[in-house]
Amino acid sequence: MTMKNSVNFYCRKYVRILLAVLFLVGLQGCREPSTPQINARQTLLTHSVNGFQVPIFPSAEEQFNYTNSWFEKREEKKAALAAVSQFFPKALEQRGAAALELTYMELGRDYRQATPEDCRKAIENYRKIITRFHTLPEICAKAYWYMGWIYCDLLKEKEKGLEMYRLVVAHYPHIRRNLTPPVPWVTFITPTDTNPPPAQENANPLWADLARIEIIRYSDTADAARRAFFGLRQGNGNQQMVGIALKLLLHRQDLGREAVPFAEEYLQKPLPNPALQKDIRQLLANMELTGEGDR
Amino acid sequence: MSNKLISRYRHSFHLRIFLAMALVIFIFIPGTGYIGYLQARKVAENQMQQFTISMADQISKRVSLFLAQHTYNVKLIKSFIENHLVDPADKKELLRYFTLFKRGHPEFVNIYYGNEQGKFLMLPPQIPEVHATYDPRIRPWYQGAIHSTDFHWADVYLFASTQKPGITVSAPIYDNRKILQGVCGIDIDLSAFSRFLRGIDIGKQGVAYIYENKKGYVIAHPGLVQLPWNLDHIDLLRSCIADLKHKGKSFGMTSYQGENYFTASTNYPGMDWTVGVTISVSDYMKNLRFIKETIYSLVIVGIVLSSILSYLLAMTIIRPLHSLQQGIERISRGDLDYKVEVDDPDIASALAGSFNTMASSLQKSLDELKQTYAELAEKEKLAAVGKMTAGIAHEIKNPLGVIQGSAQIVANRERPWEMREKAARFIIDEVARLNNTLKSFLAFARPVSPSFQETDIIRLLEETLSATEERYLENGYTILRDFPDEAPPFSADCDQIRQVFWNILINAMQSMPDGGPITVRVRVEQDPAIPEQEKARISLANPFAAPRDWLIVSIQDTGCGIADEHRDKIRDPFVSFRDDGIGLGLSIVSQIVKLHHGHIRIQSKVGEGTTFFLFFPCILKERHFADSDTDS
Repeated sequence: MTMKNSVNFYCRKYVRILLAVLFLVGLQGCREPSTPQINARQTLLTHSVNGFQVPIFPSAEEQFNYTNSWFEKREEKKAALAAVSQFFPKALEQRGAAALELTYMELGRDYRQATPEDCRKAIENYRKIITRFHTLPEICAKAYWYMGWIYCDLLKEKEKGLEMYRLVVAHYPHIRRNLTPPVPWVTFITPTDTNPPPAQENANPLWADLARIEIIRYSDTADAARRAFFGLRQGNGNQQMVGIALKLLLHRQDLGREAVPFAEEYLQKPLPNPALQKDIRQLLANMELTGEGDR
Repeated sequence: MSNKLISRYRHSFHLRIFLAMALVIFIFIPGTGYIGYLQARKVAENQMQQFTISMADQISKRVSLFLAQHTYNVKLIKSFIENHLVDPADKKELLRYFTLFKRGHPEFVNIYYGNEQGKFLMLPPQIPEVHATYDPRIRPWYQGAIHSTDFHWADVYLFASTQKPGITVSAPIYDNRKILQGVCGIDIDLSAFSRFLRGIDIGKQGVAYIYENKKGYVIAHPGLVQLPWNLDHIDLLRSCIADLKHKGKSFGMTSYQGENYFTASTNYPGMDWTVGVTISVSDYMKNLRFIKETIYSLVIVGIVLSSILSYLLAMTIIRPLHSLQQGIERISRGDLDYKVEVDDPDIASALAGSFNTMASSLQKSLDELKQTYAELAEKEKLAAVGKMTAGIAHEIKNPLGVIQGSAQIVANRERPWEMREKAARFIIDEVARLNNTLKSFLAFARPVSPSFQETDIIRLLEETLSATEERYLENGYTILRDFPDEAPPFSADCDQIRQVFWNILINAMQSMPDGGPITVRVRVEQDPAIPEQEKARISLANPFAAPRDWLIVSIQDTGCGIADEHRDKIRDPFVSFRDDGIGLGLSIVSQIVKLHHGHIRIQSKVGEGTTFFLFFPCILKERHFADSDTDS
């Protein structure tokens, strides 16, 4: 057998099979290692609402809190609010809160630019909300207050607004404004041993007190304003609210002097807002100067 | 099994060459691969450290750029208002300006202005119930700005609703008399950092983030962009950086939940922030795993391919040698016409050519040798025939003369009866002598093939000597025995060996006409002093392949001895130094000993005597034991 023949002999079937196996082994070794792709979105199911994929949370509370997320489009936030009613039809409290928020959004990005039609449409929606969720005082109190605010601040219809505020004071004297609920994942990024963020400090006054402030601000009659102030002063004792009320009273021609002793009494207390304290002192000083001038 | 393999290894040149090459390959290729892998790993680790540290620096630079950009923005608002390009008292104008300013800055959450009277304007507006009681003057952004006199970065906070990290930059606004009018501010969504960090590829388990040191808020984290979808690794960096701080380092190896991480952190100056990058070592090294697997695959492929090539190379070396070996075997068997064919351009081909030339020369020499041998054999044959014919004629001539003379006496009736009777006895004796002579001729000329059997030399000698003693003791001869108790067996034809002893004993007695002692000794030696040329002459297949015992029988007389010039001739046929001998006795002895693969040595001194040494190979021990076992 010649050399050439011997090489041919060794290049036959078995050598070819061996080389094929080696090629496959090499190919396997040169392949990029496969890493499992985990899509975190799969951890929450989603559902399409108004063309947006809205995640479905385990509870109605989390579902509503999710609406406080940062949305790039207002329509996406509206879809998230609509999803609360759609996903949890029996959760009245969250449905009512979502309805209130949707109605507020009807006023546009900036309510200062809202048209009278927008305002009336919003008022109409608030009425419907009050009718639909009449068993939930938190919802009704906020809806009445917002109606009063739209009438007074946006439509400049003070009487109608004051009527709404009076309804709040009369029917919901102990209902507190809810804090803006945080998004469901707040605990993941906030250390547990830290204090709440500054925006949440002292931010849960009574709706009735907020209505009294507005009554003092907008009421034409001294009696209504006086009653509102006394109601506020005798209420929960929120010094910030009392100080604001006193500042408003001191600005009024009809009740300014009547408010002076209350203001002086107020200034004797340790106050959290030195700027407000300074304003009241300044107003008192101005009144004193005016009084001396009158005399 | 292992012995078989070792034996195969020792006897296979091919296997030895192949294993030598394979051994080199098995050490060299994996060694090279492993060193390459170690170097790649070291480089990868250094790269990981440099990558992590430089990544932290890049993030810090990005933060600096981001903050500088927004410092510039708030200063721009401040300068617009202070230079009366915008009137803060005109709400609509201020809102329009804020709206324009906010456009193109999605990271601006709120832009606002608060004055010393507690008025507050914000874009987008605050929710009404908050706005009703909001006093900007007590807010940290306002307080910080009026104390800084230039601009102020507030602490990081979380937006009440979204819980996303935010920061406020604010600047005080003064009138021409440097009296404070108010403060403008921008709330900035820090998610931009998170989006930036998310764009950095640092592996699936690696994470880069920023947190503020006071309250521990996570300012930026790739997962924040995806909330609520991705909540992984929130506590990872805190743990790793705490570990580093505990060790007093700014970067190094840390562990978290049993996983090793390399962490590099840097404190962002002036903000009390920490920028950190943590990379999972195993995650980073996954890239190296690809290199490792590739090296392993290449090493395996390299080893196998090299082994195949080594095998083929060994074959190319061995095959011509194998062909030469086959040629040698063929030529050894006598096939001198065989030609080795080696298709190799190198030395193997030249070797094969030389081998073929050698074979041709051998063939030619062999032919010449055969011719010479044939001629020589013919001459020897003619000489032997002549010599034998002369010997026979010589041996027959005298008896025939005696027979002729005696026959004439017997035929002559005139002779006395006693004389005729005596002549008749002469005739009978001479005929008997002729008969014996012819028997010896026949024994020498046509020797009988020995019938071998296992034989005890001592017993055979005793039988021979006993018969001899009875016959010659009366003539004054003495047989002295020097035998061991037992001797190993040997293969022999008893009749022929007996004849050997008989002939030597007759020679011994004839050398001592007046009688005398004859000493017979038997010894057993394993390596007797036989000359190498004598050993080579012994026509045993291979008696020296294994150690074996030899029987040495010596027969010594004290006769006249043999002269040195006669010693080499006494074994030739028809050579006798006695008057009554025909010269065939020792020739027959020599022939029989040769047939028994033995050897004869003659030691003699004139006047002192002669000693015949007979060497017989014993049966091999292994065979002897095997036979013994079989017998038993």
